[in-house]
Amino acid sequence: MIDATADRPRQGPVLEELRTYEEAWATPPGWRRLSSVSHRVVGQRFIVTGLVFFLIAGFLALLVRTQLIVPENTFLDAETYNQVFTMHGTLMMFLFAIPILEGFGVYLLPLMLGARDLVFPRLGAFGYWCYLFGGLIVLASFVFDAAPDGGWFMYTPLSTKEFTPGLSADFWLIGITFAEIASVTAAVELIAAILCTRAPGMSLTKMPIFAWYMLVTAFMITVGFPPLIVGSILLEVERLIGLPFFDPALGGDPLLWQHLFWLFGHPEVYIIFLPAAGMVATMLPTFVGKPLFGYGYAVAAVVTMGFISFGLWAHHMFATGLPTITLTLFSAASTIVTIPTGVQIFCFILTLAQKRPRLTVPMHFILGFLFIFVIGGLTGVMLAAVPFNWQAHDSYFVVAHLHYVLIGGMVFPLIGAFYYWTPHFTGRMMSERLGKWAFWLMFSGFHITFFLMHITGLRGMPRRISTYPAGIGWDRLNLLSTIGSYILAAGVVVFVWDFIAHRWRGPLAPRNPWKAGTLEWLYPPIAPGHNFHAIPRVHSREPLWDQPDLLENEAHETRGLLRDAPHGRRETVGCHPLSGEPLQIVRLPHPTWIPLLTAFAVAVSFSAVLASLYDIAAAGAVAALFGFAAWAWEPSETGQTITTNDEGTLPVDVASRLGHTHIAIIGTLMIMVALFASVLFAVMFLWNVQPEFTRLAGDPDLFWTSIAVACGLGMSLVAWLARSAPMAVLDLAVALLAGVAGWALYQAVLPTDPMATALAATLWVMAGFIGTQQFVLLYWSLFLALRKVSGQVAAGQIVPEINRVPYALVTAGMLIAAAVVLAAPQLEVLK
Amino acid sequence: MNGPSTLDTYGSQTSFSSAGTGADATLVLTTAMSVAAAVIFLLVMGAVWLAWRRDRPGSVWWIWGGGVILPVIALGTLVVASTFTLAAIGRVDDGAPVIEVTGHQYWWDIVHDPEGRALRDANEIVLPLNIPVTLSLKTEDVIHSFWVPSIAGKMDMVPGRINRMTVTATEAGRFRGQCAEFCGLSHPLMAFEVVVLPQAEYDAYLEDLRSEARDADTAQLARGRDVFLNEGCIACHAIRGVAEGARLGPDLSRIGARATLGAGMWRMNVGNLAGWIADVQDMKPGAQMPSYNHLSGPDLRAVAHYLASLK
Amino acid sequence: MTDRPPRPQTRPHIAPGLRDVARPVVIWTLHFILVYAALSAACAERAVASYPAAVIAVSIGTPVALVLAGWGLLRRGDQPMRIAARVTIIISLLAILFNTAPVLLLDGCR
Repeated sequence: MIDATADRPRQGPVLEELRTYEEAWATPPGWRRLSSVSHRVVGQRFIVTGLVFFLIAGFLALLVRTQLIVPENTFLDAETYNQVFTMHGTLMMFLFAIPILEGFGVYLLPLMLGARDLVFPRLGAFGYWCYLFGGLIVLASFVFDAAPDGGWFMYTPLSTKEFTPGLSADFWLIGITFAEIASVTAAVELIAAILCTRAPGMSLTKMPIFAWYMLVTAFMITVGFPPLIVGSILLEVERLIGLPFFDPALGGDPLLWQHLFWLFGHPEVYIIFLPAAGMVATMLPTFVGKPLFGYGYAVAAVVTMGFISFGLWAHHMFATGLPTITLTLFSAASTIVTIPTGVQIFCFILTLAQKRPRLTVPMHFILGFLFIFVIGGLTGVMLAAVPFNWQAHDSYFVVAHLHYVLIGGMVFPLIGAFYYWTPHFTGRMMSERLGKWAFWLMFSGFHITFFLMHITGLRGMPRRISTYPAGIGWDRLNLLSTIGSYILAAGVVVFVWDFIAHRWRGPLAPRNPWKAGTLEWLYPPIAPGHNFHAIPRVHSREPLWDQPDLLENEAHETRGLLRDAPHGRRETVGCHPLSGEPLQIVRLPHPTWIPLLTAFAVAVSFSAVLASLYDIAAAGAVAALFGFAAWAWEPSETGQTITTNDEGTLPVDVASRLGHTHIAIIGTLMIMVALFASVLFAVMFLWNVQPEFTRLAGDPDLFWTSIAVACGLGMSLVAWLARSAPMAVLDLAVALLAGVAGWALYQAVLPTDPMATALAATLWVMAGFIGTQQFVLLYWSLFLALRKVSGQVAAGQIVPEINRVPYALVTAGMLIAAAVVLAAPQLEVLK
Repeated sequence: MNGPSTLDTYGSQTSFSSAGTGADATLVLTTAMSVAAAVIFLLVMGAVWLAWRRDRPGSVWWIWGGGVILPVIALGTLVVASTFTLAAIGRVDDGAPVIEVTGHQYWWDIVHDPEGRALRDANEIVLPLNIPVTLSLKTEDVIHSFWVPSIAGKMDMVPGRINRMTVTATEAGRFRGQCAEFCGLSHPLMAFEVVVLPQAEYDAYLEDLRSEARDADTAQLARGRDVFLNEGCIACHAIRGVAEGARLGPDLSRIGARATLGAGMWRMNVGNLAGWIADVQDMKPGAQMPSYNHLSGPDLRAVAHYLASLK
Repeated sequence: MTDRPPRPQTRPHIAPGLRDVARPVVIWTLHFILVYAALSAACAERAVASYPAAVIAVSIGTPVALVLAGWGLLRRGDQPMRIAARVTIIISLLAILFNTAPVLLLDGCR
């Protein structure tokens, strides 16, 4: 099927009249490539970095298995073993799985959707650098001989200063929180890109199914990551200055950490699984040669999974002594999530039924995925049964289950995806022969390793033990599991070798090598960096199948929008979020160093906190603020129009609530609301489980609380007015009111002593969070005032004013909620 | 590790052979679910195989049947069955005798009948046969998890909480339990023994806990006792009738009667005891007890013999 | 390629279908929060509410949630968004019913 065509141009020919256009999209050569912000470059960075973390974490897994090959082994001492399994889990979950999937999303989505880049390329680049620096901080712990050893779940109180003195836990908390910035920024960017930059005619229901999976995943990240970010901040603050969030003697509760961790941790599993399932749903139809069966069913399944998976978190806590009735709620919710998963699996099976599929390497991995993931799903249902969970929890049964779900549900599709999309990255095909070797080694090694662990676990072997006594019934099973892991690793090595070697050994990829239907295969690999010379109108979910003219013509001659745009600027078509009809032209940034420098400033700040150098930390934070200002200082182009050949005249960066920046603000606010809700959850939780501590730390000042609320409402009102009357003085008023509201809130909580009780400490965190929100508004408004005063803004350029309104309103809403929380205990006494 | 492992002395640490009502009910559920899961797996793979061979579109009813209707029936059955099992085995019997188990890094403090006179033991839990007992689970430091797979499922020990579970052992014998929540450096070395005795022997055991420890009746044992008293051991360890009150370490009044040393890890004998005292930090890194490697050979032997004699 | 493709209507009518996809799962979320909050209020140390009060809250909330989530189940149409809405509604209804399992099967906190 794949023939190595003779030497031919690796890019669409450069047309004379488009030379400036090609130049505008050129990636800077040499070391200046680091300044590139193109989604193609950033996506590949994410993918390659993620792969490196995968290999490191996989190596650590082999150390674990080698230690357990025989009972009472002395290959690793207990401390090293604890570091190794902690880092294995941490790297796999935080620095491999999510970033690499987001990398595929960052790389593929604009190509599939018909955009030339993501809408916020600099944000994507910034996120990548945060991820890299955060990952390096975590890895650096090895160098400082302070690798985290408290498990990837970091349960308190084991992770508190008392039981983990050194810096190891701080490396984890600070590095991971930093890397999570990448996840949430990428999520906001993907939401805006999917909703706002699709090809003309690509309504939500004509969107490739992968975009649905990524859209739901991105929304899940915005809601799912905040609980862990809040938890990590609480734990780091407890470690640094001793606020007693998790100390039961002062009204805290170690279970608060577990709730926050698993409020993140369970959705996380679906955040990892959904993009991979989206890859399956994209690759499978290609090899069957027919569209995905039951598109609407799959959409429903993805959306319901995105919600229901948030209702399962406590099934990781069945043995902590929760009331039986609560266990039953989470048990039932954990079983029902099987329904959307089942719907989705049957969509895949029925897709398979339509036509005899081609048994390529990616198809092998898809079948492997079905086989393994179904087993993982079934053991997951077993674990939802509380009595069984009490036996299996924290035993090797759970180790088996989670690897069936994560390797079957994510790694197998991912490696299939590497075989499928690598031609797009490199222009060459990976080896069918080596791919099948990789598959069979991985598939057999996987089952030998992990299937046996179900039995090991039910024979009573707990997780996370570096040694076990001989003769207890675990010896042979562990030996076989270890041998299996080497076979699995051999498969990964074959894959990695193929991935490296294909760059010189692999045959050149023909145009649309797999005969796929989605738009990313429009160009012969490697597609040019700008993705599309012209953005074609799309009439179907599989445009390359249903619109024959797309493949009949040379790719660069495709008819479509923005074909001859002669401005030398990077731009793409912005669409209506629902209908996909063109709405605006989105101007995109050119290569810039600002994201790298800003991320570096943040990295300096985070590392300085780790080293307790608070002056430097503050300096880094200030430098980052300057970075953001420099980033956003560029002149507004709202009001310009561009005449396109096919779709008439379109405005540039339209001032509308349907614009991409406004959608991104909504996405950002989801993160902020989720952060606030996590803090609120902590407050309510502690209030509910430790009632005797309610008012021990002193009462908040209600006078100042009401001042804060009044200023917050005033701030919202002014922000709302500023939309129709953009004036610097209104910006200054917003800034002033935001500042006063923040200060008043500080005065309100001042009478309470955060060191005295966990509840008071949590109230301070709540006030601090709202204070941060107020600071953002203050900074933002001062920035806008400065731009107006310095003449950067023309009439009608009110995009920032439109965007500030929801931010101010949500912040005011948080203030009101906070006021209720601060006042409630005192009103209770009045009753 | 020095000394051979002691696991041949136990009945089991497996959930496959149940010797308690909780483990028993769970094993029934496990078996039923495993069979059902295997059948469902084969059905789904059969559907994949049929789909692979097929060459024309199927009906959406496959989605409804395979993805919604059959799963709902299976899941509904599962939720009802598992909830009723849970209600049965998760019930706490307030009238049952209470055994208080407190997790420490990395050992277990055990108090029988804490309501009346506290009868203290460590690292070995003796249960009466066929009589429900309520375990009251606490921790002194980090989170531990109490798990004896052959008797019942696990329950965590969480700071600030007391978790209770009622267990009924249905088979006499020795069973191994182990901490199931990662608790630090020597988490893998935090096991314990469960000994299930018929009522008469159980009563004798309780009587044993009420009486003073065995007297040092030879010169060597007396020397060992003196070493124990003089070397500061009594700051942490209690031996009834010899030095009482200290609770930082395991109660040693009947240490020689236990089958294992070091919280279920090594066979109990004089050699292992001596090795333990001299080198505890090597055998159990992170334990609170320092290594007593400064003791002279005769002193070490004497104190080891003395401890081994406490039965 | 000579003739321009026919331009489709600018606003495909997917918004109502999309609303019917989003609403039932949001209702499920609110119902889940209601049940969790009611059980937490009745069964934690503070005991803000009695167990019967929690059961009453769930008993009132559930039919309301079923109606709100199920609204639109019978709307016809076979556009993808309409199909997605129908499937989402059915899954959400089932999930809401499963949320009530604790109060249906048990008669107290412990």
